[in-house]
Amino acid sequence: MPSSNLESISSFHWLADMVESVEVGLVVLDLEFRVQMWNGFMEHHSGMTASKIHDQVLFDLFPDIPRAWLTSKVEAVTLLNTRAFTSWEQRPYLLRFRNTRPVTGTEEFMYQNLTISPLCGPSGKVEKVCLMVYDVTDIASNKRALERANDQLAKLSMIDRLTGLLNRGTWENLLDAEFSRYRRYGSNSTLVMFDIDQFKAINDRFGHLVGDEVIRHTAATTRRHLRHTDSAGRYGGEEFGIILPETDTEGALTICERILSAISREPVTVDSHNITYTISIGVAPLTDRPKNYMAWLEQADQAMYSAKQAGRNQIVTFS
Amino acid sequence: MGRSSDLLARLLGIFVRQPIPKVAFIASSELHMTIAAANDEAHYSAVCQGFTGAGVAGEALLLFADSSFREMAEMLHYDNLDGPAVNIEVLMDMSSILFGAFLKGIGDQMDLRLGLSHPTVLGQHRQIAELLEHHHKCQQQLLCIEITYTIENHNIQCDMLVLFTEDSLPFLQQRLQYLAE
Repeated sequence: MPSSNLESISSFHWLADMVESVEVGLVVLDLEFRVQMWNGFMEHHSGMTASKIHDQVLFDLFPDIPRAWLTSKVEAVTLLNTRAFTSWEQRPYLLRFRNTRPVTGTEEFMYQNLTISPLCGPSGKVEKVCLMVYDVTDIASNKRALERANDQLAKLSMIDRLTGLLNRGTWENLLDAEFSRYRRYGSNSTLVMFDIDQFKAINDRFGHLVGDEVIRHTAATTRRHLRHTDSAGRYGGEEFGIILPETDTEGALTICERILSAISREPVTVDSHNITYTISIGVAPLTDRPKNYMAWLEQADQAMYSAKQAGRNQIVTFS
Repeated sequence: MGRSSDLLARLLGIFVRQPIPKVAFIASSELHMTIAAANDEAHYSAVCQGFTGAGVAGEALLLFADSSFREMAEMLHYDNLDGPAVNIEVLMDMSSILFGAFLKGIGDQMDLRLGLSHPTVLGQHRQIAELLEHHHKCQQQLLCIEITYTIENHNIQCDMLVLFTEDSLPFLQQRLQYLAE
């Protein structure tokens, strides 16, 4: 045998070896979807040997493969003679390969990216296509974990940890938005600010942990009396704010009276202390007078201080 | 150049309108300013695909108007027209067709074989300035080819940008010289 022939046979051998052992799934199909090649990666993960699957129609052996979908992709590849790509984000996998890693594998199955590549015969016509199946489980699970973490962070950054109400920044943004909405459309809107009466005395007498419990109790009681569209936030230490959209003074007063009486009636029990406390409420229905949301806030604050000066445990409306 | 619209037209059986492409040298930090649709308030989704071969390298970018998704999905004869996966499907299919055809055309003309990386979705439902944000820091000079495709009688518009790196320019010039001779 001439040496060049020997060389080409040996290079065919190591080429075949490489294709067999590469950690990418390689499948060659003819245009009737009969399997012409099925490399080691596909054998290992599918449990189907190359000799068994050879010349069989792919869909007959794997009925779960979305037939219409794959057919249209392969048709486009043969017609246009260009590669087509699909990502795990559109379809998690072509063939369901189960998770094979007991320690590092956190997903149920292998996420796959797929490339479909045209293979031309000597005439230059597309005669076969090659499917390349990439294992992208790590990328997919990292990306999904990142998305989950971002969602959680976004939620955490909006919420006051002690009370579960909106934190001051988020609540003020909502107040600003409500103010702009009123400027544009002009329907009723009322702002409520309230504060726990003589909170410092409670803290001094029972300690901060009890004080925290009182704040938490106030938030929980408030939340119970609000409607779905109302937004309550913790404005400062023991100061709270509520935005009541589409609500006039009368409606706001009804809600405030309920909160006021609920709080003065229900004592908080912490470590066998029964603590009865009250709140003072300021109400400011939105008019054309305030120039911005801060001026509106100022009005509600003023009303609240009037309520304190008038003897606490009461509601004052700004006028 | 007209090759990709020809292929798209053949695959879908429709008429694709394509104005003369814009070619310009730009700094990558100016990328968002050069794009015609960038001033648009509308939201876009983008997909990116890298290519390399014979000293030429770069990235192709497809910007697809969010309002066009549904009609495009109908035109591609998808069974299921709803859900977020459909949008990614449209992006992937369109990028496969348009990038594939364009890069194959360039490759054939200049006699180079270009390798294509897997396309990545850059972002969905954002304004263009936001999609291209991460380009701000880089000061590389890029050769930018912008092609805007519109499909006759349909509310479908997409913008394709092919960006060659600074290092690719000498190779491209050399190839052009062979072509001109």
